[in-house]
Amino acid sequence: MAFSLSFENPILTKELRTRMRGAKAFWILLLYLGLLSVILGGTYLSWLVSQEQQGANATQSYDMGRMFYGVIFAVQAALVGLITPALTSGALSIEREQRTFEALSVSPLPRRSIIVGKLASAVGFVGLLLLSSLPLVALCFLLGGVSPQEVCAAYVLLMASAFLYGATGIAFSSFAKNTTSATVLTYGTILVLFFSTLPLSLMALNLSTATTYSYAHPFLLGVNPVGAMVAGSLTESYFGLAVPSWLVGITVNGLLGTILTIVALHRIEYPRSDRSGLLRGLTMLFVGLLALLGSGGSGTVAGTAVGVALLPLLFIPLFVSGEGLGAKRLREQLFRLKEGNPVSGLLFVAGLVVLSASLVLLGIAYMHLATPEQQWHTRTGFLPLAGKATTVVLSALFGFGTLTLLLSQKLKNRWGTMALSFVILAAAYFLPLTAESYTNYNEPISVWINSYYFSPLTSFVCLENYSTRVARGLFFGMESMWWINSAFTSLLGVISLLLIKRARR
Amino acid sequence: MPLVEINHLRKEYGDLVAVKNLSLTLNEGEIFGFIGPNGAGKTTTIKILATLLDPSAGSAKVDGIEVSENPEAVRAKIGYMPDAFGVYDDFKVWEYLDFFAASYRVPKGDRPGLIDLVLDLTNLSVKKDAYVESLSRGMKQRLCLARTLVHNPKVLLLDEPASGLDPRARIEIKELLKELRNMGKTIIVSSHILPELADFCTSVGIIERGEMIAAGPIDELMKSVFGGRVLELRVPDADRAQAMAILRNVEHVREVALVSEMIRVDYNGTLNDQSEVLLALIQNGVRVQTFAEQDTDLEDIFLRVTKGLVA
Repeated sequence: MAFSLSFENPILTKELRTRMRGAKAFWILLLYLGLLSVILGGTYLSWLVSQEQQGANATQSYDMGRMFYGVIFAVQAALVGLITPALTSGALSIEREQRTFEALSVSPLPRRSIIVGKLASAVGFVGLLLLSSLPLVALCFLLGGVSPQEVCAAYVLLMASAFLYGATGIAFSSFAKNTTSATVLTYGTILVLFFSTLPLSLMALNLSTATTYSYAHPFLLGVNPVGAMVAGSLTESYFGLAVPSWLVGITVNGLLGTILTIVALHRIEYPRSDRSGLLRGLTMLFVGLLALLGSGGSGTVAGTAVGVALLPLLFIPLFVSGEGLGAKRLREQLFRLKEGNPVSGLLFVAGLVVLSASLVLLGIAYMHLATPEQQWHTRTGFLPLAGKATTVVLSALFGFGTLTLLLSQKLKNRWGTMALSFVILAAAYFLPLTAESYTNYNEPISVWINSYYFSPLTSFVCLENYSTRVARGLFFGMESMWWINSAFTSLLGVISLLLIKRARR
Repeated sequence: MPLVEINHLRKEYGDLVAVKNLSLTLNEGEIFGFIGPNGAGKTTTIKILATLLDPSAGSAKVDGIEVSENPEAVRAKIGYMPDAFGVYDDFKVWEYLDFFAASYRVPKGDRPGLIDLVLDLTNLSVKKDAYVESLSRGMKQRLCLARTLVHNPKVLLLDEPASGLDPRARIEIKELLKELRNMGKTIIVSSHILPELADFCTSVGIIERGEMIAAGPIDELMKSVFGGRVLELRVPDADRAQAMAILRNVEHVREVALVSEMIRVDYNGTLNDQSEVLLALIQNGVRVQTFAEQDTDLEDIFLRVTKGLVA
């Protein structure tokens, strides 16, 4: 033959060889299918019993088909979340622990092949598990109510989720000191990822029949594997454009998974090539995509607050942390795009904020133009609030950014800085939200509600006076919240800056 | 052109200087023994050559290529066996070697023959289809050595290849290294166990606290450290004091010492003059029981040059 495919990845060969060796893989397969069969069997039996009792009034077979389909894919979604991280979170740390990594490192094998091989074998194994459920899924076709196209999309989306979860595992495995901490960190992150995206799916999804609510307005539905079962037949509307849900899911999960894969690759590479440009570019793309999708889907202040004041600022710990600030003057470091340079990282996060804000503004402006009538969501007169919103966000960026710079300078340890900065940020953003966790509107409001003044997120949301109940508990009213919060974060920034100056002298 | 060239190498870990100002040149076919106590800087130096660490200063070249500048090219030329290494337990022996051969981009068709070759060399042919986990420690060590050979490297970097082995396995490794020497490989081998290295190294270097304190072929080292040969005599107890007094007056004798019933003489005269030593004793009526030139071993050199600063 004139042309032959000369593709060989030794790591992939090795991983597949050992993965399928012995009885382990087959036990997993047996357990996986056994669990699915038992759950399906139970569902089936309960339907049979109800049919005998209720006769013609019982659920129709095509409804049953939908229900089977829903059960199979709900269970598979959970299993993907449970199994994939177990396959990858030890991938590199075990090599390090067993002292086999050095031998691998001195071979001319590209680091890319190591990461790709490990990831592909894990995702491939999950793919095998998923495929093995195909005969069970075929049962749905027997009962009716499910289209093949839907099933295909669901499988593809589950694979995209497996890729994202696998990449998360690989990334932590490349960083963590040992497999135990890599596994804990991976499962922790995936738990957050899974349950923070779950509402996106559940809002649109009636789980008991695996159908969508008629009033549902899906948004990022396919990002969570639970949403996979309906994403195949749904479209999401962005700027009046109908985008298939599965495409959005694959894009978002795929992009985030790619970023994490590159992070892992960067971590194990020696000598390291400078990927700060690529990583920051991809992060920009990711945040931009989310902001764009978010603004295209809804125009509420709460949504904007998440897109502009919360999401980009959560990147502060990641990019504005480093091992000390170096000897160069801060102003000169500002434009030096280099890995672990926290000063230029701050500029990058500022760029993210600006990007998100402009995309959100664009989206809202579009919505005002394109849809003159009020739809199901509250549209806000956002532009008059823009000045105040900008003040809140920029001072938050300044305050928490310089605080993280200070931590980098003092701790000289990137991991410590990252963790501490993240905890501070999370506390400032989310703790105030717990002040009003009850729903009894007759109860007098607690004084803790005043912690709202410290959170840029609530300050942003409260730009719009929506709740008189909260306002009653505040010392200075709701109108003054934006400037109190801005003053607080600016003060934080000024103090941090002064301390940095003093420490560098 | 020298195959391995290290010039004023320095490596720091924070405040700790692991290697300072180390220089070394090796030509093709040389076997260099790195001797030093634990923590002296042997492993750091070898790791720098193996492209696993960046030098803080100085240069390290393999086959003319600067290690820190083009590690990819260097990796293809070296075979590295780490001090503490692991093997993939759930692999068969041939699969393990096949994996590394593939990593080193050995064409698929060449691999089976090559694997048989290195297995034969390392005496593991019978274990070809055995699982790696079933091998003994000595066999694993040999397998690891076989792994470093699959891509036919010019330079072998072996960090403590025989540590933790029983005497028999240690001898097997030694035989294997001799075999490799005969194949014309350039080898850098480190050890803190001295006799291991003495008989097959063309030159040795003694390193302590990151500094090369002595280096060269063993007999040259001997001369520079002891300034000559060591003679060992046995005389009856009664004659001992007299013998030592006589010996001290013989020309070219630098030092006379009593080491466990034997008189040890540090002699730096020529071989022709050496008979004068025995003659002087016999002429004075000392009943010499044995008279021999002692094989000074590495241990003596080592103890003499190191200051025992690294425990």
